[in-house]
Amino acid sequence: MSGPQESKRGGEAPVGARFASPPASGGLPWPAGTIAPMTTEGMQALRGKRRSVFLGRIVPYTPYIIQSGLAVTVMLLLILFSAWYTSLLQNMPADLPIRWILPAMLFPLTAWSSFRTYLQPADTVFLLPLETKMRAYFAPAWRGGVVYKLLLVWLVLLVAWPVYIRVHPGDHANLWASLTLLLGLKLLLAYGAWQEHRFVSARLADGFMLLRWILAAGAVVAWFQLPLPYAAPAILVGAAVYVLVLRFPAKHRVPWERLIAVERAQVGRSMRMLGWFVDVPTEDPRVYRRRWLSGFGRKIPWKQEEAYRFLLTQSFIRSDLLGMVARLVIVGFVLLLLARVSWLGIALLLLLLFMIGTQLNGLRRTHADSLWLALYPIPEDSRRRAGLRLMLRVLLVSAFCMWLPFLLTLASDPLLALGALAAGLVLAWLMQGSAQRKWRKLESEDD
Amino acid sequence: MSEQAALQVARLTGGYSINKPVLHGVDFEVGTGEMVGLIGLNGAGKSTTMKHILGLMSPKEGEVRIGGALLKDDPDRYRASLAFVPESPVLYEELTVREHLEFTARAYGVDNAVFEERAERLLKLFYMKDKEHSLSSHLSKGMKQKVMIMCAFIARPPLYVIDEPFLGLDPLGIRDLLDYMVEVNREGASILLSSHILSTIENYCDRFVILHKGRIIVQGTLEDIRTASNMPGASLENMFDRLVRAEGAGGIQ
Repeated sequence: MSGPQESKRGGEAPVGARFASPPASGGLPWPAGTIAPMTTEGMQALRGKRRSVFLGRIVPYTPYIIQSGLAVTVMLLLILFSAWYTSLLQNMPADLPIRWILPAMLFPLTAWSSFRTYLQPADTVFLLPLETKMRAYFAPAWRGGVVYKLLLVWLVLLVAWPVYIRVHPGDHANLWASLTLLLGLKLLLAYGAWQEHRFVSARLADGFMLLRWILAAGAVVAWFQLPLPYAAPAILVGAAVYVLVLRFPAKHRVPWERLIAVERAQVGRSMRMLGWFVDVPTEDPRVYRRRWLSGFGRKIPWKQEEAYRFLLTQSFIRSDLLGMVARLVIVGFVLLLLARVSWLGIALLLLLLFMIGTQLNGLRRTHADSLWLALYPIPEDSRRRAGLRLMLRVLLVSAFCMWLPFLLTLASDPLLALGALAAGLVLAWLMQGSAQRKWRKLESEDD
Repeated sequence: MSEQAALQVARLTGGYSINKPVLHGVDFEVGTGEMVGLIGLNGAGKSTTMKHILGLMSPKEGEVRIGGALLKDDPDRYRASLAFVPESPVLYEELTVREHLEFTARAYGVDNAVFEERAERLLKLFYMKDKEHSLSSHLSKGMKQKVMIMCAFIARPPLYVIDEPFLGLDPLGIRDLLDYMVEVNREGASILLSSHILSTIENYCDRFVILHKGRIIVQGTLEDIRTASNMPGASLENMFDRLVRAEGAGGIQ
């Protein structure tokens, strides 16, 4: 029989409804040499153990992340932000649309919900018999999913609050009430997100996810835009209706397969984020169908040396990576609509493009350990070529899309608008060149 | 050693650890247009032999040649001459069934029009036409195995290395696979097939190689094995049982 300490090797820990006794390692709540029943404590200990195993995989990379210049960059950004923020407070524009800006900053953080369950595929065999007792296992996941995000959304509110009260002194939306509102919304929407996981119908879960984001946006906008006698009842009624409609769809008691898939995607995302700084083994990514993009691969010329390009293109269009790039492009587009009138806009365009390029470095590791790429007669250098080619194309398209807001500036300041385009294209080209050198070096190290 | 053999495994010794080889002097051939069954108990060394053939493991001693070429001499030719069906399906989650076929065909340099024709036939033959646009993660295990088999057959190389292909296949799938193997075999392709379903492969393979604890205990046609095991008219399963048990007791008396 295996013990909880074995969850490191793939989660075959609990057998039936019991744990076998592990050696006295790991601080588990039962003495060595006894069979411990799968109690609440046991469940919590199992999750705790899995969490520390996961952290044990991530933490050793922290020195590399710090060395990579992230710490310096963050410090620099903090200093720049502080300077900008101080000057903003001192020279507050009277017409600052803070009633729109604040909700826009708060609602994504309020709606965003995720839970780390650390569930593993083997759990559908070994933990399934304990389905009715899983509440103790999931409780810390739920708490963790709410608390950290709540602290983050509170932090954003607290940082933005001095601006808000300067523009609207004496507004009904006072700080304590706003903090309480965010607490309530966070709890409500995290509950909603958990219920979405439980839905039998994946399509319905997607619909409710959209509803959750709309509700978050609606509630926060209502709070800062409407007078209190309208805002409070509107939010309360919205919340009540939301809770009510959440009851209707058919649900699993424990949505095993979905939670395992979500967990796998989250681990993959964490490893990919680490991959921006150090070369780490990537996990299998989450795959999205994206039927409307499927045709891209088919347009690739039918040649043996382009075979890998076909695989890479199809993999990219269904990957998380494309989602991340698209989100950054959309954020860039929106921000540049505001920032397009100054040279700051160009800096922002370049920063976002740099972030996209950094993420695209992950293309090098796509299918790195694939059996078929080892066996199929694919020309050796075609993999690097295809990766770099795709990277350049995505960078160029991203640069162009984020530059589009500058079209509105083209007539009034053509130098700025065309300069932004040129700077974006040059950075795309430079990043591809840098990736080429880096990939070659890593390849020779691999050999 | 014959020059014409599609696959030559000569005095192969190797394994996961240099000091503890799994295979000991394994020596056999698969001739052009021949179907050879590689059989043995779990842990006998069948998969290790296949990994050496695929070039995923390097021999400690001996060599593996495909169409007369070593992997290191001409990797492109070696790879293009070989298709592999693994015991457990290994698929790209990002690709649909049809895209797996397309990727394989592109990698093996199959002409586009030929690909379309082969893909259509294979999808229909294995009852996968209605799944051709499904992502691989949405397939059952048997369907995934069918994708692996179709990928091997879309390439049409001179040699197939097929490891336990019947696991998870439905009865029609098993029959269709066997029929298709016979068809490519008649067209001149060679097949090295590993399976525990001895009663099935008995009627299909030209020759058999029986591995036990990393050594070949007997190889040859069904008649050769009957003679070696001193069991005239016996089935492969009964002979295998006797040979392997006798090996534990010091050989056939």
